[in-house]
Amino acid sequence: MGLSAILSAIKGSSSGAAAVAPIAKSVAPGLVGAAGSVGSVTGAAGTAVSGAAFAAGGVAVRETVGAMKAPGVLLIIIGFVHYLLQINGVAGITTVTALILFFIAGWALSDKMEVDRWGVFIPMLVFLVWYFFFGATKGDLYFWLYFGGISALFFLGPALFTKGQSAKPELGGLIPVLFLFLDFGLIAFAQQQFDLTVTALMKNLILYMPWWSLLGLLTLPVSKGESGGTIVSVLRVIGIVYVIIIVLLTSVPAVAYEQEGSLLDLNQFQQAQEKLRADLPQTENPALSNLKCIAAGRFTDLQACINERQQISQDKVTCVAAGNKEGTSSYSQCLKEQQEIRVKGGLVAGVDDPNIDKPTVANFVVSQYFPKDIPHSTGEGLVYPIELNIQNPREQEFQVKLSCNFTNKKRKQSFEGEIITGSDLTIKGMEPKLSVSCKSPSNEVLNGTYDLVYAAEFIGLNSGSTLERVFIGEKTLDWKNEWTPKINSAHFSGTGKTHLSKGAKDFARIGFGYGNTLENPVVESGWQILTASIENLGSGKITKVNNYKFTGFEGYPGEFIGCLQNTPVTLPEQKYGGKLIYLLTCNTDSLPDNFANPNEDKGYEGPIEFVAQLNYDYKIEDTESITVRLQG
Amino acid sequence: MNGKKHSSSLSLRVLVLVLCVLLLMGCGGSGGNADGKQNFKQGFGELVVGFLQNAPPQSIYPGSDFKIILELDNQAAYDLTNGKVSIIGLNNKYFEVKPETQYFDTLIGRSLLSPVGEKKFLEFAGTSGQLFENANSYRGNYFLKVNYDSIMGFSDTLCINPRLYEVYDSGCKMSDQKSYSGQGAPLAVTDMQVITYPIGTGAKLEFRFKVSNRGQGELDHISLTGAKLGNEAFQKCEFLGASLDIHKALLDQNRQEATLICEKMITDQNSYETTLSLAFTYSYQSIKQYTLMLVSPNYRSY
Repeated sequence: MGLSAILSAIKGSSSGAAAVAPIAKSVAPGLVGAAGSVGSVTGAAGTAVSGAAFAAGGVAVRETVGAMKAPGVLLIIIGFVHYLLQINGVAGITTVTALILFFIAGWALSDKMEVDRWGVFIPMLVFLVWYFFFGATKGDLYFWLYFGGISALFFLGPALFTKGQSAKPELGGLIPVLFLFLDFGLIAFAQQQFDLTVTALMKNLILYMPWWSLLGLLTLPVSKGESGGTIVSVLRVIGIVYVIIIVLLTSVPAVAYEQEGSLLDLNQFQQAQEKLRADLPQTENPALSNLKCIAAGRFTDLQACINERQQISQDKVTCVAAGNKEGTSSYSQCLKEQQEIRVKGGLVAGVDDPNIDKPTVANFVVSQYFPKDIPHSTGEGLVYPIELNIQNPREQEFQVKLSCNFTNKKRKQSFEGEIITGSDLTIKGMEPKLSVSCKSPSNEVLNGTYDLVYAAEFIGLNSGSTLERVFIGEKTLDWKNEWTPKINSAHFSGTGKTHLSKGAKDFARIGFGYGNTLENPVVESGWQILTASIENLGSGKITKVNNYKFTGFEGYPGEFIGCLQNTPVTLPEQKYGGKLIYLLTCNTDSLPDNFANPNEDKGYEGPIEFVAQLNYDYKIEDTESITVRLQG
Repeated sequence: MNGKKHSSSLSLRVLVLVLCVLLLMGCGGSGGNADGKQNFKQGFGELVVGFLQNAPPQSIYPGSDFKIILELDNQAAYDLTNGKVSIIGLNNKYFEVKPETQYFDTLIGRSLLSPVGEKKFLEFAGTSGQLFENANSYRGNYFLKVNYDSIMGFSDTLCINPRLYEVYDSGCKMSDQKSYSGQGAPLAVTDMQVITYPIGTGAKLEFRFKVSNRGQGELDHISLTGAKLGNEAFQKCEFLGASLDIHKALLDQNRQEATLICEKMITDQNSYETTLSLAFTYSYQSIKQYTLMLVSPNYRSY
């Protein structure tokens, strides 16, 4: 349906181009009149000009009023305002605006489809009844027999009287329902639920797609020269260009995933969308980048220009997030550093070691007996137990600091709870399970709904990653032609990117690349580069990098080894720009003797394994919504 | 009486028949031996390298000793000399093998005296390291590189006919092109073409031999050490495209075939049969990939 609608919209835009003619015609008489006046009586020039201005102003008002009669135009404009509110975090009002847009969408669709308006509204109203009055219940067989039966009366009744003509509008009524879900974050929710990879298309749709405006675009009427036609045509052209930039320029396969399960709370959709929007790198809107590049005349390298602008905008967000105010010298310095990082080698991510299936991780688990919603007589000293499951397959010894915090959802007031099961613990075992009980403070009376946040900070975790490289020294082209494919096939093939560093999928690890270029595992004599980043692989935050260490580089020049030495790492305030934190870049043009001159019998040295070890602190959180209803 | 006569005549007949059979079998046996000697020099027999069972074992535990025992079996009809066997590409952190290279002087080829060819065993002692962190396993791919020198001889009986236009020559019939299925070595003369140019009362014969690698490994170079037609050497023999040494063809991974061109002037008037023989030396290399698996004792793969 979407495709045909887009096609018809495009078709409409071509006819819309013709609609520009009437405005020229209507403006022309005024101008001609004015010109005539100027030619005949010079003193009357002012009157003529004001007459022309008045005529043009009148046309503009007529056009605007005419355009506003089209519900598609309303949908585009209000939809865009709604989108702006959403991305600026004004969450309270957006549910209301979404519902308004939901009804405008029904109106617009019925106009576009030229069908009975109430036919479109029937499924929309049935959806709203199910959603708001029955709390979007999954229901049981009895419920669906009852609800479905009554709903069917609403659907079949008109169908009987109209001899099946009402089926088309009733099906059309499902479209606003779909757009409501898309607007509330269906894609982001699906991504989180099914752990889908965030593709460029998905990112653009989540960040930059005003869904209601898109529906407005698809439901714009075909202009037939009536008033408002010009504005409609202009909106259509702008809309189509925008959609093309956002969707088509990403050049990735469409989102098509198997989905199962039930329809869920819209709040979950919104939360998923907000979280993903916060996690995704905040770059300049690609449509804006595109326009600015065109305006700058970079037609020959348009894509390079867009990428450049996107990177610069990401650097800006990175620097602001790191606490630098725009316009300050530290901000400029930060931008320069970010650019240097990119030039030197950028951020390097490793891969999960397929041979390590048990990483060191932990998570909070809520039991079914968790007192999520309880009546209580005093609301004081309530205890909320939760379980902290730790997987410690390497039996590391580390500390865990536990804490909890209550936030009243209405008043936004926060206060600390007390972990009565011990807040500082030492972990040694392989799979310890800790019971964590949070007690509300005695001086606070719980009454209402709260966010209860459990936090566990792990102190002194270790994680290692390895990187294999083969050294060939100086070889002839013939030798390289014969042996490089053999080396790659034997040592760097198989599943996954075996030429990258690999490690357990712990909370964090070091990803590093090394060689003449970072991704070429066959190292020749000459300049080499090593770049390393810290990868945050969990859903929490790296709170401190205690130290890091590289081994395997012992025979290298002192300067290079010095560059690899442990230095303090400044961590960003929040996650941004993906989940990588730049660590270091080192260069050298020397190699240890055995690497520079491999044994002639063997032909090459290696594979040699280099190891990076990271010692860090990591914090995870879990938020539970609790309700206490004071009684008596 | 008649019956007795008949019986002795039958016995005589049986005796004669048995003697004939024995005689025929004897002749066959003698011929077989002679052919058997030739048979070794057919096909593309080469050095076959295998592992002794469980050396190395299918999976190796961390921190343990293991052995790699190679069985070298010469299936070629010629001796192999200057042999070198190297193990290349093991990550020493996980597998250390000593020595990494071993040598053998001669490995006798198949012949009447040694119909199965000579076998040799080479033993490499290995030690395994520890797995990284809590990894279940480590897969160590490596190459087994075997180099050796050897020889190869080619001979055939040909009909030489210098008078191409003589219709009534009652001698043998000359064939312009012949194909061969190997001479018992990975290096083989696979094709021969004869071009005759009548000159005066005689003719110039140009022989074009295609010499190819038909084994599993790679030829490094081929040298021609002898070339005769009958009892006489060819007047000229050279590898096509050879630069410094015309008797030597340098080959690479992408080119494992050479063309040898030999010329001979003959003055005979009539067709005749004669032998043609070529002798080569060559250097051969075989590189094959194998795997060692280091496995955690706690790991079970399903």
